[in-house]
Amino acid sequence: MDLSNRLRQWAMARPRVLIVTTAGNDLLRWHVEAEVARRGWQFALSPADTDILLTIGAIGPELSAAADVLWSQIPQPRQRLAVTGEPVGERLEAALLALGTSSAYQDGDDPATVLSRGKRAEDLMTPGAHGQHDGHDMAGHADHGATGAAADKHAGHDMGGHAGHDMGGHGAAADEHAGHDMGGHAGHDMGGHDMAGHADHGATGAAADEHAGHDMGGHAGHDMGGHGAAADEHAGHDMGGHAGHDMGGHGGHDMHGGEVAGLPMAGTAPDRDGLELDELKVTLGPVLPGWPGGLVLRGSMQGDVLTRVEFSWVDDVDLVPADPAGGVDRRAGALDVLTSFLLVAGWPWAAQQARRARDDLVGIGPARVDRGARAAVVVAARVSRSRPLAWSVRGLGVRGAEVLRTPGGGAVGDVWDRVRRWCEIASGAGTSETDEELVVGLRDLAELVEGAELAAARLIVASFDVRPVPEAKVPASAARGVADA
Amino acid sequence: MPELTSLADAWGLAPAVLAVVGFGVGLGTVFAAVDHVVVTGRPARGAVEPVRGALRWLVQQRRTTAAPDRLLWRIGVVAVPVLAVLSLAVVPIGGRTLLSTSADLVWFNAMETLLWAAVWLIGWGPNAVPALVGGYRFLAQGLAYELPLMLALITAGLAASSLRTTDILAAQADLWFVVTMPVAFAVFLVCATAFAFWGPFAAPAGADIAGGVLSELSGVHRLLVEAGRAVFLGATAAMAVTLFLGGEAGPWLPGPVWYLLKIAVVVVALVGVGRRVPVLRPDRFVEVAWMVLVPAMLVQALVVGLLVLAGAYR
Repeated sequence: MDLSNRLRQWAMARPRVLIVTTAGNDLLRWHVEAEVARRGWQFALSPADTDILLTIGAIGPELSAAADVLWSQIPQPRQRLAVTGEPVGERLEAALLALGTSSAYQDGDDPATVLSRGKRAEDLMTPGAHGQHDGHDMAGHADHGATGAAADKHAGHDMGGHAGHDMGGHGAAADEHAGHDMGGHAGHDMGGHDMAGHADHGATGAAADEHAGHDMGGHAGHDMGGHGAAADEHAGHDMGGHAGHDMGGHGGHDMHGGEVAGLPMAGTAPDRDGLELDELKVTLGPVLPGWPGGLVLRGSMQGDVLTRVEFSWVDDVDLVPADPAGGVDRRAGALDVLTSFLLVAGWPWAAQQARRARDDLVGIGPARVDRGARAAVVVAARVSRSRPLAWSVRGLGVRGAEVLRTPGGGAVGDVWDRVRRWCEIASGAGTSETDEELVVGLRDLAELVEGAELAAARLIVASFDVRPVPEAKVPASAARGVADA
Repeated sequence: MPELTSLADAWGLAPAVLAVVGFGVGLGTVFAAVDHVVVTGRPARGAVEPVRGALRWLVQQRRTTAAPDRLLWRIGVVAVPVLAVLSLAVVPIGGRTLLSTSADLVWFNAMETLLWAAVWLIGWGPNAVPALVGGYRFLAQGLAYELPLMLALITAGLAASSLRTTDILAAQADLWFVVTMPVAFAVFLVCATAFAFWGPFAAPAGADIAGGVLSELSGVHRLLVEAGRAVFLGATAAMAVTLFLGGEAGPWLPGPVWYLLKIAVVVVALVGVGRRVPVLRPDRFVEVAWMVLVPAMLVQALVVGLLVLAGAYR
């Protein structure tokens, strides 16, 4: 018995840590990450791979709820730890010890049960919580009326193949379209028989302005009367049999048929080329490796192409002025961005070097800071000279209408351009005027990510220093996004 | 040349299978240890970390997701290590293979092709977005690496006028194949890395999709897939030594020592280079594969074909 206990402790001696935090806790997070790395522990990529769930700093109710869902997804043995300040090292050691005791095996909820039961699981979706069916022919809509945040998750009736009726499903709440250029929907055929199917989210009260901006002119001959008022309609019904029918008659259908284990099934919607494709509502964040803590992306995925993208911060942190970026060491900040970027770009070796340089740079003692500064120069040079990396990421996320070529072969304002600027700052060569290009508002970011593949979208987000800033402080380019909306 | 029997004939089936499994696990452990050392830069601890990691997954609870496709998921998870060991069945150990077929290279290729299905099922099974995206990324990657890989395998068979690995070893008695087919050697290693979705080809398990096909696996399931992947990479190194580096050939030292030494060198080189390159995104790599690797392999095969006609390999 003693032997098996010791074996278990040895096996768990290098636990994997999943960090939950928001922007504004940077310094504390760096300190915690340095302590974690110093012990030879590793950072988990998903809840399935996690031993210790670590929340850093004060987190709001929404993020707490997300952490609860994550916690339900973590296999035993597991420990949960909240760090809000010193002593970090002792807390980590205590968690490690507890990992070897029976408290790490307490009966938790079965992950699947939590997922099915809690609507939160869908709203605050984290890697482990993406349980949705894909590739089904039936339009499936869950009824999210109970939670306000769920309102913008509905879309995509599969009506594409019905007797020549091209029915794009725009079952989104009003806020989903905010900041989107409605021209994006022009790609699909609105002539003659088009019908836009709208789900009504009564609980949010948003349905009233939901139709704004849609051209309803092409719907002559169809009685759309039943749609606006009927909440939760159409879900899970094979609409093929209703071709040519009065669409108003579907208002009475119960929508729960479109769920599997409490999760909505995928429908179809026009893709970026105007073709009807399977569409899945996805949420990225607020907890994701290499992702700004607390940032949430909501959008549709068709294949791996993201459309109808919208960003937000959990717990409305954008209303609270966070710790400004200027408050921390600029070089360390640049290395932090590079760490996330390199992780997302699939270069864990370089990401680790960048993180170590960052930790040394903000460490205690001049010798350590010196070492960090030298390491920062080395890693910055290595990253900015990497041809495979340049080849892999150049041309993505180009900002501005004009595409200007840089000497390196990329475009001005693309991901690669920004990465090299971060490298300049990290090695101490950057000037302060480069900063504006590296900060982005959420609306601008959504515009850049719209229509990108998931991999490209992640790279685009990781190439910026995304943090909650009051809209007024965001540079001119973001203000343009406001005007568009 | 003495007629070689298969390992199964020489030792009996059960001991031979055990030997191959043991060899595979050993290779996989070595690969994982070298990989860990290179990534973390902690040489002292690196050697035990794969063992610790394996034990950790054994201790860990298995988990599930909402509405998974349980059967297909499990099939995929179990298939990865099984296929890895089966691919080793045609890699010579001590000069003999577990199975001796007239088409060893086809067997090796078949095991690797079945991996397409296994990895995709692991992506499909959990009913989760990141895993599914990872599964599809693997298929996209497969379109890129499969053809160059087949051409590289066939080129070695062409020179030896046989698809039997022991014949290919015998044909390298005078000259290692890597001398006349360096392109095939390099392409084989690149493509093998791709089918094990590791290093620069780890996009199906990328951090940007939270671990992709691996994102929902825990406990013994994760162990099976990770072990299978490591064994595949170890088997790749052994196969590369067999096909291109003369197997056990070498002066002074006994054959098996040379064999293990060469495998170690290939593993270290593979990890050392592979970890210094970021992930090559599948959508961009597919262009390179078709526009560069396939033509390069065709030229390589043509050169080898002409050398065969000129009698260079006899």
